[in-house]
Amino acid sequence: MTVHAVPAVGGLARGTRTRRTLRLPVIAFVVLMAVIFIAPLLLPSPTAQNLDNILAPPSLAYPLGTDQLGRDELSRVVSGMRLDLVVSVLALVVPILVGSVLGAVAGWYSGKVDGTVGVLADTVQAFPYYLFVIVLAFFLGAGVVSILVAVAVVAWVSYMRIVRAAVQSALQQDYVRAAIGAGYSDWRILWRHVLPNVFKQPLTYAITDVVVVIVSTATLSYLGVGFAPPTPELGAMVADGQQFMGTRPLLTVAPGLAIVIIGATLAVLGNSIAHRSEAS
Amino acid sequence: MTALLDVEHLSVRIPTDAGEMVPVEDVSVTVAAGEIVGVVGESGCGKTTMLRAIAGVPARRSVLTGTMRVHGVEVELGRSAPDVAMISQDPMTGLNPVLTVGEQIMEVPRFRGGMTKADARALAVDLLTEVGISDAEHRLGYYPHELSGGLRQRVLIAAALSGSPRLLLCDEPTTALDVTVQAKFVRLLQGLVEARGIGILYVTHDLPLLGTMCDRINVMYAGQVVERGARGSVLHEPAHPYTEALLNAAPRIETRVHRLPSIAGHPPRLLAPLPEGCRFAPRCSSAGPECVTAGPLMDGPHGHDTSCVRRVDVVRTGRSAS
Repeated sequence: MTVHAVPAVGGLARGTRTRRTLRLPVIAFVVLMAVIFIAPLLLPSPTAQNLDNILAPPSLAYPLGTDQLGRDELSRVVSGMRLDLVVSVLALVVPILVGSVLGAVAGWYSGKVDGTVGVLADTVQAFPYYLFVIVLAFFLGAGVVSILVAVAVVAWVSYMRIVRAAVQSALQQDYVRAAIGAGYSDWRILWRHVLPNVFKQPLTYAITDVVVVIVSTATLSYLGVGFAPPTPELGAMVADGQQFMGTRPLLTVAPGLAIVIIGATLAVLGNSIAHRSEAS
Repeated sequence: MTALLDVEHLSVRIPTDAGEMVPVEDVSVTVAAGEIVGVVGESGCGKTTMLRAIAGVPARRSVLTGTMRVHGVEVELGRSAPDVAMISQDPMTGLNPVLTVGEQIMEVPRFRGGMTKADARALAVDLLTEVGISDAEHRLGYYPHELSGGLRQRVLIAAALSGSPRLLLCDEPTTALDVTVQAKFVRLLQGLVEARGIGILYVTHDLPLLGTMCDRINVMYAGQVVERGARGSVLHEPAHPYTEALLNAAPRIETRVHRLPSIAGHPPRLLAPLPEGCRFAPRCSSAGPECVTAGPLMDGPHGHDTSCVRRVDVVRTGRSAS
């Protein structure tokens, strides 16, 4: 907040610098989204088999070649990116809501409530994540439900901690004191004066957190706990392609690189946004 | 006549890991309508803690004792009292950054007073005009970061006035302002007292500033009021060595000094149990053996009270203290 106190010249310089650092990540993100969501409409179906043309090398018709069932690898990679991204974003909805609510409650009511939520968070965090998910898959069966449940159970912890800290610091602000002094209800103060100043932080974190969920979705599918073939999922495709590593390395490398591309784009975007919102 | 604000024997205790803190001990303050009462003391003397307790926003886990009456009606300590509004120290954190100026001024009338949006808006325009903001209608849509510190402080006052309080609590509202803006701000407060007949309790570390605006002054040291009285007698005939030291530490334009005198030592930590006697004695140049047993404030003439056993006679006989 003190930034507004700097002279106009300094403020201007700061403004242009942050704008420049944010432009590239945003462009990269928009291009990636366009490719992920438009390309599958133009490419052949990712599940259409052509057993006469299996394990084909890259060509004009099949830029990344075909897999062991003659499916277009490019189409599968792009569809896989879309699937992983959408699943990961959806998977985070519940933990963001649950974590934010628990964090707001823990930050607002210190003491016993805070302590209970803290112990719960520590317990969840102390569990080895992948071990937990594999055990869960035993009970729920492999599939998207296991991924969603596993992410929901684990990911809320970060949001709880972020929102809790933000609420606690908001409570020290004079305008919140003024609202308390004016005799408003707890609910009203929280909803109108605390949360609007707090919500940016969990959302900024969520952009980079999506990357973590994408990687774990791919990892779980790679391990055979998440999505199963023939669904075009990046982790499952890496697992599938491994057996042809010697002759058609692209079948493994392409989906792997796709994960890296989504991950890097989102991570850089999230970081730049976080830097920018810290600066303002 | 019943005072607007009458606080008696207010103590604030906060349990901490290191023991019980007593940032405010047995403080009594009154403010009459149409009066500006100052509370002066250095950082950590408990003046903000006291003000927040009166404003109904006490520190977390603090235990409040004493009585508080507004218009003669007893008010539960630590609860927000109607007719009382507070202006905070820092205009940067006093306003919510995500709400417009108008929304913040209109909040109390609309949601506490049940006013319609149009009425509240008209009131907000009037209030902004009253605190000297031109083009008020237009400024309602501004966000706090679009305003200068001085303007923000005025908006804070407008927001505080929006519930038409009878008592305004000010916590060093001028610390973040330029000196020229400070002077305007003080004139604005004085104008409000005259126009609205409200009372102001003004907390600051700036004794000369209080000298320009207050009717009565309370001097706080280490959680206690050590001297209180009318502005003139406190400033010109200080009856406590601490007040005298504060006055000496302030620069004056008439005399040239090479080095301002400072008060040696530090204020005591306010952990219970605090030692008996005068808390300023360890730093006092004129302390004697009788200071160890010094008690609370002793009445002097014309409401000029001091806790200094060595000076109380001086006040009572009306001789100059210096």
